[in-house]
Amino acid sequence: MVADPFELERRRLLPVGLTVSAGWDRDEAYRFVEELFAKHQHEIYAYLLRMLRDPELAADLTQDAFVKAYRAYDSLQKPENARAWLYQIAHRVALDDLRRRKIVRFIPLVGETRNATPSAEHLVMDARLSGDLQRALERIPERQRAALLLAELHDLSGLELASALGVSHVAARALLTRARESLRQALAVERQAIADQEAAAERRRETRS
Amino acid sequence: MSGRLARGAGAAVHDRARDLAATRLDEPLPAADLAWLEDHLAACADCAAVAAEYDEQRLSLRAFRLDLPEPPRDLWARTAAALDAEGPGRSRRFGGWFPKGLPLAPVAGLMVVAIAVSVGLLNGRSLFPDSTINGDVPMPTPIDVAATEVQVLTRSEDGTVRVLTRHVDQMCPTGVDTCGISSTFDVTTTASISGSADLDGIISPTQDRMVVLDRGGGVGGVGGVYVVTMDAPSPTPAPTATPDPSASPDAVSPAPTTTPDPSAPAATPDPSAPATPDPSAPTTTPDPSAPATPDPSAPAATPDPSAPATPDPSAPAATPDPAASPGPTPDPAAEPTPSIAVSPAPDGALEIARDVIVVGGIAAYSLDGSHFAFSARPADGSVGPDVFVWTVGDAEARAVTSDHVSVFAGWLDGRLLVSRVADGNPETVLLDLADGSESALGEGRTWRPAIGPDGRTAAWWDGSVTFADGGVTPVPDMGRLVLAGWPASDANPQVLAAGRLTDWDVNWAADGTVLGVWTTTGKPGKVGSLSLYAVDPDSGRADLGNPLIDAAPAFDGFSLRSGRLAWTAPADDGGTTVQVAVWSGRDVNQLELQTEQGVKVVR
Repeated sequence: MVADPFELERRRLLPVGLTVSAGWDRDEAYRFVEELFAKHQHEIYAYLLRMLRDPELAADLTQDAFVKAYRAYDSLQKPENARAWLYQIAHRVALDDLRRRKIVRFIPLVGETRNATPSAEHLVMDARLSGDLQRALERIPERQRAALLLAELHDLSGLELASALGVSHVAARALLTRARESLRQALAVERQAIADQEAAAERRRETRS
Repeated sequence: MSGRLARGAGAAVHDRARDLAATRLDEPLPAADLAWLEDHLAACADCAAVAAEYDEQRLSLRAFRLDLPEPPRDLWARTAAALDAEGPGRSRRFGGWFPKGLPLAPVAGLMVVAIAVSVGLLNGRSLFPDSTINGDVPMPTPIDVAATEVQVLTRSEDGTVRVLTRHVDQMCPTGVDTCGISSTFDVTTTASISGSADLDGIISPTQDRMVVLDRGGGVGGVGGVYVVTMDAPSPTPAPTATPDPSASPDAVSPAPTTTPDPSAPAATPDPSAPATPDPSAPTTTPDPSAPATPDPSAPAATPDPSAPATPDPSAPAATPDPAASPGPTPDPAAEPTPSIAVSPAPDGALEIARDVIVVGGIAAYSLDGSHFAFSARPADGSVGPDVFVWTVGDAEARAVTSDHVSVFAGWLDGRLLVSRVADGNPETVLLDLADGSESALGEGRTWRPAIGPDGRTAAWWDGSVTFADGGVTPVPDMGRLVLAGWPASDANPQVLAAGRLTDWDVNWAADGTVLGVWTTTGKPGKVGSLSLYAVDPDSGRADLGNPLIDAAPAFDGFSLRSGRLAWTAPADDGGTTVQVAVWSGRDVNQLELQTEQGVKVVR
C-alpha cells in the first residue's frame, strides 16, 4: 500500500535531516528517484503545468516533487505503487504552492480578446486545452480540478486517484463526481459568455453598418 | 405539503440519475443501478442531456491525454543538483537513466507498471496478477489463443518494400503486454517500389494482393499507389473476411495485375496506355479519347462492365473544374473516364497511380475484392482530393469524382460513400459506380461515416471541416465524432470524441460487436489514442464507460479484423512497437512486438 498520507505529510513538514529513517539507503533512494524521474518526469511536469499554468513554476515544483520523493523514499512500501505515490507528492506540492502564492488566475470570460498580449503560460496551455475548457477548469475548486486532471488526462485508476489525493476511494469517487458537475456548469457559463460576446459583436457590426 | 414533498422527491431522483451518470464514467455501476439509470435517461431528456455533457466533457479532456508538454531539458540536471544538496552518503554515478546494477525487482516492477499503464489497457481492473508484483517479478506465462496473424509493411534499407507476417497463437495474460513471446516476423513478400517510407498497406479480401499507398512522406513529397502480389499463402492462414460469394471469379483471380507486362518495361510507359505520363506534368489529364485500356497481356484485364469507368457527366461529381486542368479531372464533355497518370508495372508491382498525395486514412477494397477505392490529390497541390477507384484487372485507377473536395468514406452495398464539402457544409453521398448517380445520405452534417456491418449503426463526424495542405485537403475541425443509428439522425447519439480533432479513424469488427476508434489532435504522424469498445448488437450502443482498450497510444492506421486488433505505437527507445490484442467477453489479452521505426500495420 501507499504510505499513509498523514505520515507523508508529517515527514514533509519535518526538517530535512529528520525525515530520514535509520534504514534509509541514500544510494538506493537516489537510484530509485533517478528511475522515477526517467519514467515519470513528463507526466508529473504536465500535471503541475496543468494545475498551475506556469511553465517555470511547474518545472521548479517538478524538481521539488522528486526531491521530496527522495526524502520520503522509505515511506514507499511497494514499488509498483510508485506512480500514484509520486502523484500524491506532486499533488501536495501543487496545493501547497497554490495556497502559498494564491495562484488563482481568474481569467476574464473573454480573456484572450481583452488581453492584448497573452502571457507565455496562457499560450502554452491554450495550445493544449481548448480555451473554454481551460477556463472552465480554472473556475472549479482546485481539488476537483486535480481529480479531473488525474483521472482523465493522467489515467489514474480509482485506487491510484485516491492515493494521489490522499483520501479514501469513496471520497475520491465523490470528489470526481462533483468535479464533473462543476465542470459542466462552468463550461455552460463559458459558452454562454462566448455566445453573449459574439452576439454583442454582431450587434456592433449591425449598428456600424 | 405533499406537493413540496413530491417536488423534493423528484429532484432527488434527478440528482441520483446525474450522480450515477457521472459515476459510471469512473467505474462500472451495479446492474440494478445501471438499469435504473438507463430507464431514467430514456424518460428524462434533461438528465439525458446532462449525461451526454458528462460524456462529451470526458472525451474533450481525454483528447489531450497524450499531448504532454515537454519539460525543460535541464530539469534532471537541476533535480540532480538538488538531490546532491540533500547531503553526503550517496555515491554519484554517471551515465544514462537505466544503469547496470540496479535492484532488479523494483526497477522491473516499475517498468512493467509504466508499460502497462501507458498502454492504457487496465481501466478499472487490477494492474497485475498478484504473482507479478512481488519478489523477482516472474515472467508471466503466455496463454494460447485462436490463431490469427498480423502483417506489417516496412521499407528496408535497400528501398524495397517488405511485408512482414507474424502468426499469433499465444498472447500475454490479461493486464500485461510482454511475457517472453518472441517478437520475430517473417518476411513474406517484397516489392521494388521506389518512394518514401510513409506507407500504408491494405490487403485484399482474398489475401492474394495488397494495395500499397505511398503517402509521399510529408510536405513536398510525392507518392503513388501500387498493387503488389502477395507471396504464397501462409501454411496456417488466419481467418479472413468472407468474400462475397457473388463475386465474379475474374474479380478474384490470382493477381493478374501484378505480372509485369514484358512488352512494357518498367521505365518505359506504354504509349498506348490510357494516361501517358508527361514528365513535365506529373498528374496528366488523361486523353479523353483514349479510355483506359487494360494491359492485354493480363488475363483478367478485361474491364468490368459494372466498373466505374463512366461516371455520369451530368452528375455534380463529374463536373469539371475549369481552373484545375493539371489535376486528375477529366473533361466530361468528352469521354469522362478520369484517371491518374500511371505507368506499367515496375518490377512486380503495378503502379495504379503516381505523382499523387494520398489523402485521408480511408482506403479499402470492396467487399467482394473487385474494386479498391482511395482519395488522392495531385502532388503539385493545385487542387484538392477526389475519389479514385481501381478495378481489378485494370491498369490504372480512375477518378469517380472531379469536384476536388471529395474523399472516400467507405463501401456500402457495392456503392461508394463519398464525403465532401458543399457550400461550406460537410455532407456525404452514395455514389453508384454503375451509372455515376449520386443520392444524398443522412441529415445535416454527416462526414465520413463508418457504417457498421448490419447497416443500422454508424460513426461519423458531426462538426465543421476545414482545409489543410495549403487549403485544398478537407480535414475535421471542431465538432463531435458520434455513434448513432443509420441513416444519420440526431436521435440520442453517443459521443466518441469531441473538440478539435485533426484526424480520426473508426473501424468495425466484421461481426459488428466491437468498434475501434482512433483520434488525434496532433499533426500528421503524431501519436493519437486508440480505444476499443464493445457494441451491443441489438441496440447498436457502444459501452463507452467500459472500454476494452482505453485510449492506448497509437499511430494512425490500425487494423481490426480476424478477431484481433493490431496497431503501432511508439516505443521507449524511439522505435515502433506493434501491439496486438484479442478479446473474449471483457477479457483482453495483448502482445507487444518490437520492430524498427516506421512500420505500418497492414489493414
